[in-house]
Amino acid sequence: MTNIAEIVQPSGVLSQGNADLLRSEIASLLDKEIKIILIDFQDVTFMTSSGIGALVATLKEVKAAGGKLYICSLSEQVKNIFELTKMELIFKPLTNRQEFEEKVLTTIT
Amino acid sequence: MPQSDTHEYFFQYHQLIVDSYYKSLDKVLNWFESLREPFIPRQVWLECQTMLGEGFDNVLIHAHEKLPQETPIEIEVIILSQLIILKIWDWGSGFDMEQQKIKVSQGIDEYAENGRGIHIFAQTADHVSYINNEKKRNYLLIIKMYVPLAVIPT
Repeated sequence: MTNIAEIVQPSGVLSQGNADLLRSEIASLLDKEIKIILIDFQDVTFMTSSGIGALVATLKEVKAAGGKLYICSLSEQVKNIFELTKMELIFKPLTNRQEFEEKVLTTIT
Repeated sequence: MPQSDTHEYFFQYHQLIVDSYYKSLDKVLNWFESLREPFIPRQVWLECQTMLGEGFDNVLIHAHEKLPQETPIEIEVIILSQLIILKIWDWGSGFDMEQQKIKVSQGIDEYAENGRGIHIFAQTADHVSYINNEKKRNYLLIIKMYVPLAVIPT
């Protein structure tokens, strides 16, 4: 049986130079018919609005493919930029992986 | 004078010059973190960090887009007792930030993939402007006010 959910865990600083890598990593999961994707931000120390732009683009691609995108474990600064750009209203960040497992994974298995 | 008031006439000037390379942002952030003073509230510092990241990204995306990687980006941080001043110098051809501010003030599409930088500055900074200089360098000027925390002497 193939997986329908995958977790992606980027790390370090997400800015204009590498934000598109995250986008292409998720595009390759969509190619493999993965419908539920969690981006775990626990190792992302800093993000610029280029990172937000890449996430919005990714969200549109995931939705177009009939999938669902979740995010969790935002650091202090990442949370700050999500709030400043009102992106927390669109992405509704989860606290951590455990919340993802309890709220999302249990409903599909 | 009690020790908690020692920041009353505080003045510090810091400068860092890095290459026009996206990984230089790690260096900029580590450097900036090392400048933090205990009387500056955490949220204020966080917002300055976020604006520094935006300013740096903007230089790479716009001003230095077609310039070699060795083109220097100079960052100045001035910390005063109730103000933080950030200046980010570039060698690009300049742009009209006031025009961009007007555009952004009319609202941005929440599903847009860019254009959030200026919105972040407008929300976070007490002053933001971009100074064009045709013959020399341009700079982004960010001013953030803060109310110093009382630091309890240890």
